[in-house]
Amino acid sequence: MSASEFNATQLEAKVQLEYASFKLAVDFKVPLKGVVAIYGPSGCGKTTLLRCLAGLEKASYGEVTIGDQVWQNDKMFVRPHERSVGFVFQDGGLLAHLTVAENLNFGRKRAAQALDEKQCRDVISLLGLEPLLTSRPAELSGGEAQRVAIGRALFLNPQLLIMDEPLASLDSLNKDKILSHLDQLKQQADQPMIYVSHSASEISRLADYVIVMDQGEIQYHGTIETVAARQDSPFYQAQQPFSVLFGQVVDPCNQFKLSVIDVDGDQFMVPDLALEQGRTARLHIDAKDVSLALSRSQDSSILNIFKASVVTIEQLAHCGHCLVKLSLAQSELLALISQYSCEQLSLAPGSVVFAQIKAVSILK
Amino acid sequence: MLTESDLVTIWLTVKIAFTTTVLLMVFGTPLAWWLARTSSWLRGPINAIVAMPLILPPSVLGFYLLVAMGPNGPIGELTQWLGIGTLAFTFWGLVIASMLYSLPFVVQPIQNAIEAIGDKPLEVAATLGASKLDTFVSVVMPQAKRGFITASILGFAHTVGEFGVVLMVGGNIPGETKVVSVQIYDHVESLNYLQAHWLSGIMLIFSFVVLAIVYSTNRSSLSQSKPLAKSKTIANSKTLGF
Repeated sequence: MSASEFNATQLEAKVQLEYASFKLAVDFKVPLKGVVAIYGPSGCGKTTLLRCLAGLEKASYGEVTIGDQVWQNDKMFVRPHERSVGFVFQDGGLLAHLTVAENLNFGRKRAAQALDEKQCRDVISLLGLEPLLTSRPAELSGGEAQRVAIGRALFLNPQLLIMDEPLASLDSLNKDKILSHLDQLKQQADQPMIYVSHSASEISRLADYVIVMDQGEIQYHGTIETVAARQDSPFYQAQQPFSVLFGQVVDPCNQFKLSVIDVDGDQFMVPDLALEQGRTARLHIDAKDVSLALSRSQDSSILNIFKASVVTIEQLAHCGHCLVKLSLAQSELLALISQYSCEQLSLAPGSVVFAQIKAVSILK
Repeated sequence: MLTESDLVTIWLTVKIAFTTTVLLMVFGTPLAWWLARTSSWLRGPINAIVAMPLILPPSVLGFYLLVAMGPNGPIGELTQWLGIGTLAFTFWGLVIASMLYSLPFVVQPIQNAIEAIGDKPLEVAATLGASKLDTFVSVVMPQAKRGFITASILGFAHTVGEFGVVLMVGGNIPGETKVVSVQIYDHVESLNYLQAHWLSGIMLIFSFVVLAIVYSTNRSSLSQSKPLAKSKTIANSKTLGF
């Protein structure tokens, strides 16, 4: 899956809205396939934007178009219950007077193209909801409630699934569980999602496309690879620069129990993760796990060494490091090295180096 | 023992209170919904009007109603124009007076219950495809159930207990407008204390039973959370391996 494959459906929105102390003004067109993440600090207008998309907030000026359907323009306003949207609220928003099963079915009974019974059972088992079905919302933990809320939205089989910081109120253990549920969901269901978060790690794990917002405006948007590679990317500011690469699994398990993944001709070897042959894998590489050498090391235990050329070098004054942007065959890779090493190797844009990647994590 | 005329007044009282309560639930619910949800400046003044019967002397309310329903009052002119004469000293006149008198007892519990629900469940229902009416029936009514029950009980009981308004608007026509409270007054006036005792005793017990029901249902909402807490500890002890 690369940037050029994004063309299925588009979400187009122009929204202007003003409160006493807050102004939202956005105008964007994004591909609606996989997970579109909206990233930004608290109070930057992410939730308000989502509410406008769902029709819960009537913007003073708004145009919302999804695919070929107009949800809002200056002449019409499709009411929220008539939009095919699944909305997962920050705190789940389960209806307190209904059991979990009744909550799950509340929307399904009313949706035009809800999941059939078998698909519903799949969602229930994917999210591990069986033991909760007869419980009341008051009996659930935060993580359980959030899983039910996600399931309830999935039951609608909506054109657009909106999640507003669904993990914000959870502890890290629960977060991780739900993230892996969402990961699986992304694989199994072809459900366009808008995922709002202010956590760089959630975004790096889930997002295919990223919209970065600040103070009621969109700073920029693009595919996860391009946003992660930007100098002003929020992931730099969080001091955790990373790269995301997409490749094909060519050998799911070789004789050394390693999976081989082809990224535009470069063969990455990663510990076997029981990947299926031919499928797309998403590689997450932290910039600090990439070191550079001028020649290909023949006696190293490092598995993944690729020839690359230096594109840019950015001095990070605050930590004495350099962030080096490299170009591989087709994609870009970030390396975080010390300024000392940078001078020792006399690196400059155009230098040919060998990138040694110490760790690759595969996101399913 | 109760005389036949006592029984007639009891039956009439129940009939008026029941009719009033049903009509108040029908008309009071949209009013309560509006008061709970609106951001209009009219909210304050309308709230005040709804609450006025709580502090106005019933005779004041009754006096104005009597004037309004009279042949030259606005209500009287309307009803005459409609060809149903004037409403003062009739069953329906009494029902209308009772509706005003008991309005806050019905509107306020429903309004409070709807306010307590907040915006969230309504927005949730909308994103799950429920229209406004659907949301009212499937989310607001069940979540505000206690408010509706309290409203209907208090509306009924308060109408049964009215005296001043009835005396002003309804007068004292047996079988038509003479309710229990007026009958008791008549018994005392004619020094018929035994009959007054019978009817007053019935009213006392009725009031106690009604209030006991209201407060016990409020109580059961507290005890409802107990089994929940219990099952939670069971679930916890399971995960701990006990």
